[in-house]
Amino acid sequence: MPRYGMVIDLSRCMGCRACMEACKIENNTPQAIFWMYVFRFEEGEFPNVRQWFMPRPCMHCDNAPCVKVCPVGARYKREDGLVATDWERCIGCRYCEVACPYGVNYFNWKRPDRNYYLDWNDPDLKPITGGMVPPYRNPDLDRPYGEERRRIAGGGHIKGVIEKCTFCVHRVEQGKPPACVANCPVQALLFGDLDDPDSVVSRVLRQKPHFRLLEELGTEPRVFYVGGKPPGPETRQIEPVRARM
Amino acid sequence: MRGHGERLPYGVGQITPGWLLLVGLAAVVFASGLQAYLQQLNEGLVVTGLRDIGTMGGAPWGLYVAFDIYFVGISFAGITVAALIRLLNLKELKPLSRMAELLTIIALILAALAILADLGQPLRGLINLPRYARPQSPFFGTFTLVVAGYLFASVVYFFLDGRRDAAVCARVPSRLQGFHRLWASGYQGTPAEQERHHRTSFWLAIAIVPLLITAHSTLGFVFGLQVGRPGWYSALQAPAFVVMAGISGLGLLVILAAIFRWALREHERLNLTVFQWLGHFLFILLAVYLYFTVVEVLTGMYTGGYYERRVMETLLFGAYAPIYWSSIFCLVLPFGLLAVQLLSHRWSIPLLVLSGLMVNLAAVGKRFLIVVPSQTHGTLLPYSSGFYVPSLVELRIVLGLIGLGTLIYALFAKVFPIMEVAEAEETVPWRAQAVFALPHGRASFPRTAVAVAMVVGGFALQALSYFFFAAPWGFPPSSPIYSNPRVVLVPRPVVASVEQWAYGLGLVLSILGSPPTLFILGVMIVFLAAVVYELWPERL
Repeated sequence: MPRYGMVIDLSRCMGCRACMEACKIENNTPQAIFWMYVFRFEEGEFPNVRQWFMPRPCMHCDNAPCVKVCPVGARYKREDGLVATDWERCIGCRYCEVACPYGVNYFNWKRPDRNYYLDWNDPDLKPITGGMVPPYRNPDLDRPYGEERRRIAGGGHIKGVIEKCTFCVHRVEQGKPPACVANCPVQALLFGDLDDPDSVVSRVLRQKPHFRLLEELGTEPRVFYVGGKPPGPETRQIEPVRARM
Repeated sequence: MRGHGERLPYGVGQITPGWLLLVGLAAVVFASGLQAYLQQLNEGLVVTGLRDIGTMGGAPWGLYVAFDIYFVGISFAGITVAALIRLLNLKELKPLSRMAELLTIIALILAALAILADLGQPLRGLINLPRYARPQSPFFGTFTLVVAGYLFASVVYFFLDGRRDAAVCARVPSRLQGFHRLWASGYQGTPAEQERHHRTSFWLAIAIVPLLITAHSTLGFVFGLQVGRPGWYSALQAPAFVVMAGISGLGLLVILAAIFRWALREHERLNLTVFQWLGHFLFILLAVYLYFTVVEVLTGMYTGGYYERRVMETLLFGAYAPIYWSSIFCLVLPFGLLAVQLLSHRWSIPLLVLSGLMVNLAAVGKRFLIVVPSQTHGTLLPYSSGFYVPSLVELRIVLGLIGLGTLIYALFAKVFPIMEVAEAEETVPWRAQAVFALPHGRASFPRTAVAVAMVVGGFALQALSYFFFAAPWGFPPSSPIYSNPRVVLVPRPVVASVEQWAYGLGLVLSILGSPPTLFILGVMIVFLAAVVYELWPERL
C-alpha cells in the first residue's frame, strides 16, 4: 500500500493560483469554496518588505483532528493516507470544520446546483447557449472509491454536508496526480508515494530541509513544504479572497 | 389521605386568562420559529449567519450551538436540586422538586432540538447517529449520555416521584382522571411502597449526580479538547461548563419559583426560606465562576502566547467587548446583590429574581463568547479575521424553541400539580439507614433480584458495546483509521439484501444491530431497573 504525500516548493510558487482554478474545474466545487487556496503573504516594513506565496490544500494529517471528532465516521483515514469525506454519511454537524486548525473544510450552505458561478438556467443566458451547453459535471465524482466503496470524490453533491480536498482520489486511484499538481506551471507542487525511495517526493525530502504547517499541534500532516519558512504572527495576508456566499 | 373536595390542587385543570395569554404568546413565537425552520430546511443553512472558517471568514457554529449549551446548562440545576433535596433531605426545598425536574426535562428536549436545527442533514443525523456513532468523538458523550442517559434518567425520576401526587389527584373526578390514574400506576401509599420509593429515589439520585457531572463535562470537552482552536483548548473548559450550568439553571429556578408563588398565591409553601436556599447556592457558584474568569483572563493575557492573546484581546477590547463586559456586569452585579443579602441576613425576592434574570442573560452571552470568537479570531494560519452576526432566521428558531419550552411548561402545570401536594401523613419518614438496609422477607425477593440484574446487565451491555463493538481493540481507543463499528449484530450483507426489497426494514435492522444503539439501550436498562423495582406487582 502506498503512502501518499505532497511536497510544495515555496521557492518556486509565484502565486498564479492555477492550482485553485484546476481544483475547481476538476472537482466541480461551488462558488466561494476553495479546497486549494494560495495565500499571498507580506512581511516586514517599507522599504524592507518581502512577498511570498503559500498553497494550502488539505494536509491529510496522519493524526487528523477532523477524523477524531467526526461523530459518525463520515470523515475517515484511508490506508493509503488520504483523509476522505463520505458525503453520503455526513450529517452536517460541522465538527470537523471547527476542529481543523488549517481551515480547509467547506460546508454546502446552499444547494450546490444553485451555487455555481454561472446560473445555466438564467433566462438571459438561454438565448446564448440555446440550452445546448449543460453545466459541466465530472462523471468520475459520483463513483464509489477505495476498498470501502464509499462516495468520497469531488464536490458539489448535496446541500448540508461537508466537503474538502480529496487529493483528487478519483485521479490518484487511476495513477494520475491530483489536478493542482498536474496543472502547476512551475512544478511547485509534487505528489507521490512517501514510502517509495525513488519517488519524486522522497527524493526532494531527502535533499532539502522541509517543514510542515503547525507541526507543534501533533497533527502529523502529509503535506511538506520546502524552500521557505512557515508563516508566523509577523506574516500578513494580502489580497485575501473575499468570497462569502 | 384527606380528600380535596371537587378541585384539583395548584390550579390544575383551571384555565385563567393570564395563562391563556401566556400560552397564546408562546404558541405564536413557536409557530414563527417553526416557519423559520421550514425555510431553513428548504433553502439550506445559507439563511443563517453562519459561514466557513478560513477563506470565507465566518463561524460554522453559532447561535444554535450556543443555545444548545445554554439549554443543557439550565437542565443541570433542575435535577441537581431535586437530587440534593433527596440526598441531603432538604425538607424546606421539597415544593421546588417537581418544578426543577420538569425544567430539566424540557431543557434537555430543547437542547436536542437546538442541535437538530444546527445539522445540515437533520434526518441523517437521526438515522446515522444510532448507526455509526463513534466513542472517540467528544460528541458521543453529548449524544449518548446527555440525550439518552440524562434525559431518560430524569424522566424516570420524574415519573416515580410524581406517582404519589398522581394517586392523590386520581381521587378527584375530572377529565384528567384517566391520565392521573395511568401515572399513579397502582400507587396506594402503603408503608412498603413509600419505603421502596425512598430507596429507589435515593439510589437514582446517587446515580444521577455523577452522570450529570460527566454529561456536562463532555459538553465542555467538545470544545476543550480542540488543540487547533486557541481559546477553546483549556483544561478549565469542562469545570467552567459545569459551574455556569449551575448558575443559569438556579437563576431560572428562582424565576420559576417566583412566578408560581405569584400565580398560585403560594406564599406559604414557596416562602422566603426556599428562595434563601437558592440564593446561597447561586452565590457560591457565582463566586467560583468569577474566580474561573479571572484565571482565564490571566492565563490568556499574562503568558502572552500570540494566538491565545489575540482571542482574549478581541474579547476584552475588540469586536466582542460589548458582549463580554455586559456579561461580566450581569455576573458581578448579582454577585454583589447576593453578597449584601447574605451578609445582612435580609433576603428580598424581587432582588433574587433580578439576579436570576441577569445571570441568565450573562449565561447566554458567555455561551456565545465561548463558541464564536475562537472560530472568527482563533485561526492559527494567517487568515483574515472573520465575523458572525446571527440572522433573523436563527433568532426566530431559537426564540421558537424557548416558546416551545414555555408552552410545554405551562401546559404541564395545568394537567399535573407543579408542586408536591402537601400531605402531612407520610407515614414512613425518610431515614438513610432504611435505604441501605437490605430488604428482608421472601416477598421482596424477585423484585430486588430483577432490579439488580437489570442494573448489572445494563452496565455489562454498555461495556460490551463500548469496548468490543464500537471501538478498536485496546485502550484507549485512539486509532484515527477506525470509522465503522467493528461488530454489528445484523451483518452488513444481510442489511443490504433486506434493503433491496424493503428499505425501511433494512434501516431499522441496521439501527437496532449497531453498537451505539446497544450502548444507549444499556444506559436505559440501568435506569429502567428503578421503575421495575417500584412497579413490580405485590402478588404475581
